[in-house]
Formats: sequence, C-alpha cells, structure tokens
Amino acid sequence: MKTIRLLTTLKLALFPLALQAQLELNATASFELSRGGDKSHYFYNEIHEGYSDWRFGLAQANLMAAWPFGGGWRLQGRLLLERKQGERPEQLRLPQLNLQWAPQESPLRFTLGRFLYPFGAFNGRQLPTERTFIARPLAYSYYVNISEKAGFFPGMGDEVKVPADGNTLWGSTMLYYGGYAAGMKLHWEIKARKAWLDAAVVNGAPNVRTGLPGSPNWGITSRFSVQPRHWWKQGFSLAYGTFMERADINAGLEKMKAYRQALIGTDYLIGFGYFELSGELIAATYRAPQHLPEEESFAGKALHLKALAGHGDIRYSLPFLGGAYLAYRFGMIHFGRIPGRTDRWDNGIKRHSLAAGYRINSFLLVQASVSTQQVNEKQWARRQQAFRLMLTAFY
Amino acid sequence: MLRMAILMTTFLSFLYLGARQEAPAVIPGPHPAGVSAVRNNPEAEPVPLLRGDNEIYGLIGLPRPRKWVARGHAYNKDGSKVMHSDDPMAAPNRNVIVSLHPLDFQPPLSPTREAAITQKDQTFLPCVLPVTVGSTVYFLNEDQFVHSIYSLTLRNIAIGRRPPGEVHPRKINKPGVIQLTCDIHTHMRGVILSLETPYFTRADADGRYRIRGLPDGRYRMEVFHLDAGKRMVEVALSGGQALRQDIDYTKP
Repeated sequence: MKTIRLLTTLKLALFPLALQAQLELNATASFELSRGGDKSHYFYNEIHEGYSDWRFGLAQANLMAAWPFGGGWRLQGRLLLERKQGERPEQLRLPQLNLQWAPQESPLRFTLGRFLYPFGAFNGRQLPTERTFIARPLAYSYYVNISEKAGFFPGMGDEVKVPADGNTLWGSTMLYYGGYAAGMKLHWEIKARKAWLDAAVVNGAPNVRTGLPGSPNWGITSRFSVQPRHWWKQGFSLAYGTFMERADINAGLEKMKAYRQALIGTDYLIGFGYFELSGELIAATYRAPQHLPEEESFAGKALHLKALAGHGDIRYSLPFLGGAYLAYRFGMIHFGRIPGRTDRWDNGIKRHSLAAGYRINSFLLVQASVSTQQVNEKQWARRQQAFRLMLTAFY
Repeated sequence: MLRMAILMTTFLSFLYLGARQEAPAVIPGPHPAGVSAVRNNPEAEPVPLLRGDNEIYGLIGLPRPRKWVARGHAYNKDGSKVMHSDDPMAAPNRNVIVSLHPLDFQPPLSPTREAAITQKDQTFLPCVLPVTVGSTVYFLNEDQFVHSIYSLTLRNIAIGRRPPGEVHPRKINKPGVIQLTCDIHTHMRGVILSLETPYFTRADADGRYRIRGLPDGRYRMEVFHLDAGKRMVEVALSGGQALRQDIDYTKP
C-alpha cells in the first residue's frame, strides 16, 4: 500500500515536469568505402580479413536521445548499430543509458547507469562526427594477447585460435573500444572553466568489453583535467579494476578477482590559429593468468605484463575552405617482455595515418584516411595498409 | 624515418605559411570604436541612401517556442554542460528580422556600420545579424577559451582558433543566409542575414516592428526567424502611407 502511494505521489510530482520536457534527438549514419592490405585483420587495422578488397556499406548508425525533465534531471541514451568485429552491421548495442542529476548552480553532476568512461580524451570522440580520423587509436583498437576469458596467451587471435564458449578469443583492447562503462560517476568543476575532476565506480577494468550487469567485475577510474591557458588543455587519468570473466575455459581458475589491469595516462589538446595538436599516452600493467592450452589449464603463477600506447595528431583547418581539414597521426603500441623470457608479450606496432575531412553542409560530413603500419618482427609488416572513405549523415 | 620527418616538416611549413598569408589582419585591442556598443545595440542598421516618406509597421506572430521533440544540442557529450547565454540576443524571438526588398527600383546600398557578432558563453550574439551585402562584420571572442568560426554557406569565412579578446573582420560579399558554426563547440550556430536592401529592422520581443523612410513602390517583404525560417508577402506603398502588415508564424 505504501509503495502504491509512493509511486502515485512520484507520478503526480513528475507529470507536470514531463509535460514541460522536450525530447532531444540526434542521429548519425555512416557509410564507408574501404580497402585494406592483404594481411588486414580487424584487430590490427580495423579491416576484417574477409573484407580486405574494395567494400562499401553501412559502417555505423546511432540514435541518441536526451530527456531533460526538470530540476536538473536528465535521462539519456544512445543506440548503436555497428559491424560485428568488422564484418556485417548486425551488432546492436546500447552503449549509453543513464540518469543524470546536475543541481542548479552547483559544480557537481552525478550520473548513474551506463555512461562515457572517464579516462583519456578519445572516449569523448566516439562518434564519427567527433573524430578527425576514421580509425581509433591503437590503445582502443588493437587486441592484445590478454582475454577476459583465457587470460594471457601469446599469438592469440592471429597465430592461434583459442576457442571459448563457441567463439574464438581475440584478446581485448587496452581500453574497451566502445568507450562506455556502467556504474556511478561524479563530475566536479573544481574551478570554473579551468579545472575538472571526473571519478567513477564501474563494473570492470578499462579493458572489460561487455560492461553490463552480469559481469561480476569492479573498477575505479578518475580523470583530472585542467586548462592552464586558453589554448591548452591537459588531462591526467587513472584506472584500476578486475577483468576476468567466468567461462568454461577458465573453470579451473580460482580467485578471478586477483587478475587486474591498471592504466595511467595523460592527454593534451593545444589549439592555435588553424592548427590543433592533440594526443594521448597510456601505460598499462596487467596481472593476468597464463593459459596453457596443451594442458588445458593455467600456470600456477600470474604474470605481470606491461604495455605503452600513444598517439599524436596534427590537424590543420583550411583557411580558404571552411569546414575542411587535413590531419596526420602517429600512433604506436609497445609491449614489455614476458617475465623470465626475452620475447615480448605481443607485437608492437607503429602506425602513420593521413586524413582529410570536409563538412558538405549542416548534415553531411565526408572523411578519408589512409594508414600504413609496421608490425614488429613480421615479414608482412607493411601489408596492413588501409584506405577508408566515410560519408556520415547526421541530425 | 628521417626522410619522412623532413617531408612532414616541409609540408607543415607550407601549410603554416599558407595560413599566415590567408589569415586576416587582426585588429589589436582595444576593440575598434563602437564594436562593444554594437554588441549591446544590435539594431544598428545602414542609413538608407534613398529615403521616402512611407512607413510599414505591424506585428509578427511569433512561432511557438517549444516542441515535444527537437534536435539535440550536442552529440555524445554524455550530458556535459552545454553553455548557453542568457542574453536576450540568444533567444530566437529576439532574432526576427523584417526586410523590404524593392521590386520597382534598385536602392543604393551602404555598408552596415559596426556590425559585430561575438561568441560568449558558447553562444553567437546576436544569433542573427542582419547586414547589407558588402558590409564588414567584426567577429569577437569574449569567452575565456578559444573559439573558431567557419561557414558552410560562405566558405571564405574560416577563422581559426582565436584567443579571448581578439577581433577579426570579414567582408560579407554574398547575399543570403550565411550560417556560422564553431569547430570546437559544434552546438553553436549563428546566422548572418546578408541583404540586398537597406530597409530592414529587428522585431522586438513582442513581435512589433516598424520601418520608416520607404520610397514609393512595390516591395517583397521578408520575415526571417532562426528556427521557423522565412515568410514572404508583397506590399505596395505610396503617398506617405503608413501600412500595417502583420505576419503570423503560428498559422501555416
């Protein structure tokens, strides 16, 4: 009875607010023409090995809605249709669905639900309309030899196919490529337009992909950003959490929460005249179980593995053609040695990319990019070039 | 690697020099006389070189401001605070421009004096600026961070990142609706209404307008509202007439 009364009161209280509210909608649809080198692989250059020849089709579509219903409250979500591991656009996700409260005249904002993961600068550029380059930086796109089900296994995905629960394990990106996590987040504008702090408790380490309830992981993350000068923004990020997920392949593994990932990163944005310089440097450490497929078990001792990833962008807006730009990116990912051995725990990569973009009108954006990359100690090192031409319609 | 670095350096040097040559002359502070005054008085209009003794006045029925569904202000910003100025010049209903375009004669045009648009609180102020074609518009940045401006309709308006306080002039040499946006704050939008007539005014917040000094003749009266678009009607004025012409956006 009390519950019914409470619900009725809430309904009556919220109804006038709902009447005043305006539903804000945005949408994007991106079509891509692409071609990759004959050694293309989704986790190397984001082009699936079966689609390395010329290909045109829908790459991504988004529907975003926000409902500010008064009193500083806001409900918002994003529905995403994307290619499943670079194949067909059949993967439907709900990367964002959260309730936010931003009290008026307060420097604080609270978010509950599934939200943008507050680490680094790139997560704020998940949509094609926000990106300079079509591809993600390596930290967000290269699948390292650590899987949330099989732990560490050298050559995972390309040299050795590790099956688990009916799928082949590819490893995981250093940061979940979707850029979202579920949990609670606090945003605090410490000094107006000068310094900000984001802190969140989420359901996993940054590399956790699913991030949905059911994945019994935990993580904490924090990002402090400052604007020392009007032309310079600098961010510092920290994240820590567990990432292993129970599956048949790890049935014999105990203490799943003992395996963790920690990230520390810094990012910058410098803008002057027609130039914008931006970039990010992220160091990762893992405490991961080592999978031994011959014995169908895990080594007794966890491994401590380290990696470093970064990228630097230069973007130049054409002064004689509003809405057009040229850009260059250098990206790299580097891996430490396997403890007690001389070999590294994954293939390091150096990538050069060039991009151009042009905003045709208020709802069409065309972008093109070419990239070439060098994979350490691989004869096919230069056969993973990629060309992409993307047309994005947005509302 | 070294060869690549040299190539990149050369390429960037070219771009930089190109930008320097293309960049507008920056007027050093303090702002040119009157620019601040114009910001506070965006009614500034050109003095018509050809004047008559007719006048037109009336009421613009302003469009209803709210809809159930609207285009969002920002993509993927995770609900981050999108700044918006409380200045009346940011309100759509303070940006209704009424203009009269002569059909029987071609009036000589003088540039609109001290026309300026500022970027403040991530908002273009005013969000619609009417000028005569050929006028120079001064772009200001009054925020504490950089802004850029570019236009998708007049591509030579591409002002790079400007620090607070800098003023950049641009000549508006094309008639029509010139949309402005900021590359950094993509939710910002503004419009320069470049007119081939010296006879125009801004309606007040209640929708009232009045234009005096109109010569005899037939006119195409245009009303422009930032969200609701354009309405047109033909009118004829003669012999010192004071004509009332209302336009109602609330009716189709």
